[in-house]
Amino acid sequence: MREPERGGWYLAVAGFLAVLALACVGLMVYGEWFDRRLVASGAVGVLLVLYAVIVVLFRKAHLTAED
Amino acid sequence: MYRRLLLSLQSATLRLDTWINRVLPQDFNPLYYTGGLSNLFLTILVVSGILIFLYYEPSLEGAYASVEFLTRDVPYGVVFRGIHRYAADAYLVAILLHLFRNWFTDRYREARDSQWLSGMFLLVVSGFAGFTGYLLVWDERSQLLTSLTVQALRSVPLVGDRLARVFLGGPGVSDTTLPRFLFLHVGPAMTLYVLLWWHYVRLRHPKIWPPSVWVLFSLGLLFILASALPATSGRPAQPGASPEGFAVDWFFLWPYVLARWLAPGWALALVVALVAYGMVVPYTLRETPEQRGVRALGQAVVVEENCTGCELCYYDCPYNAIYMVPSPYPGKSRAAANRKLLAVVVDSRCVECGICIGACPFEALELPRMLDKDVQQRIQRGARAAAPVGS
Ligand code: SF4
Ligand code: SF4
Repeated sequence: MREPERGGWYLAVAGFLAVLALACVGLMVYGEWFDRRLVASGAVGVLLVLYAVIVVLFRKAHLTAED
Repeated sequence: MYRRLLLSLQSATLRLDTWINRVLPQDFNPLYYTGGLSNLFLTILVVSGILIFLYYEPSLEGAYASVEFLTRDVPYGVVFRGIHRYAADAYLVAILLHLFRNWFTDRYREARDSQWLSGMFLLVVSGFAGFTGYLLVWDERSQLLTSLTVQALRSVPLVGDRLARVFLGGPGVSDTTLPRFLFLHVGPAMTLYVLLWWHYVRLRHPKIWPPSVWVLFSLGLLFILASALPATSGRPAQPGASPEGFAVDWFFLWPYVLARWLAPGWALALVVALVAYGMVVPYTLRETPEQRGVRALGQAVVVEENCTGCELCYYDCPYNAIYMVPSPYPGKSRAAANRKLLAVVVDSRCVECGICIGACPFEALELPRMLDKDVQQRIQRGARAAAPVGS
């Protein structure tokens, strides 16, 4: 079922999550640089989860088709 | 009673599907991919297991130290260890979800019994491989698990001592024990792929991999868990010591919690009884078509003069019951005159589902004894099962 009126909202949330994902990249660099590898690997995990949520939001905003 | 319970569970499962489909796009519903998710976690286990294997030393003196070296000194070694540990739990959860879903939605008996049986073997072998993984660390927990297992095996009548000897690789814990445990971990893990072949061999379109969203999410979750709750060892095993407690992984080690309440032999007997019940589940609700109130429809039959060899039925039959063979003679209809292939139904595999009839655009397949009232009856039964309980 199409939900065109909520598409903008989904994209706004996806944009916010993308910024968080960027912060995770920063944390990965920080963790590797300062030898805090659990921070780096945790950031990898959060980044992957954020990507998954962004993919769902894109689909809900009808920006992508079925797999 | 059992039948009514199953019907309620079926209805609840379908309602859960409907609810998830409201929240997520339908093709992202994780409950449709419990089998694929199991495969994903199995793949992660194999890859992380190979990395851990490269550092592991299977000896009484070296095993603990090699795991500690991996955990403390190898860059990201603790993460790979954690991923291996949590992927094992997630794998078992996915298998159990898959099992209960297929049980509750009535896809476990009659034509599906070989999937159920192979699934039960997959569950048992996976559980065993998971348990032997805990022995390899050779800390106090491994030592306690080993001694409880030996007690349980020795309590088996007639062959108990032999089983314990096979398990330990000798009469007691010795230099051959850790290589034996390694074999008991890796060997069953490799067997899983043979069992998977059996699991899939009669399915035409199994969903063997989850959508990318769930691959990303699952991997991410494993990284988060492995970083937030790193897998650690207890104190190293001591020769002759009899440690008391251990941190429990409920997914793999619940029989050992039981073994501490009951005698180890009774815990083993309970596990064997549970597995035996699991194996006979598909046969506890055997119904003839007459009992179900439907007539046997007869296996699908190819109307040879109409078959064009288009292969649509071959791809659509979910039970792999249709083969395409070189056509020995041309068909009679115009469309079939130049055919190269002919569909053939393997009677022993056909479950009379009728899917191929819908797939064939040339009226070249029929269920010889199906009448309109049978179709109506099936639609009504399906609608009843999908309706909320009590409506
Ligand atoms: S009725 Fe057709 S689709 Fe169903 S099992 Fe038999 S051959 Fe396959
Ligand atoms: S779908 Fe019909 S025409 Fe095509 S191969 Fe099967 S039986 Fe023949």
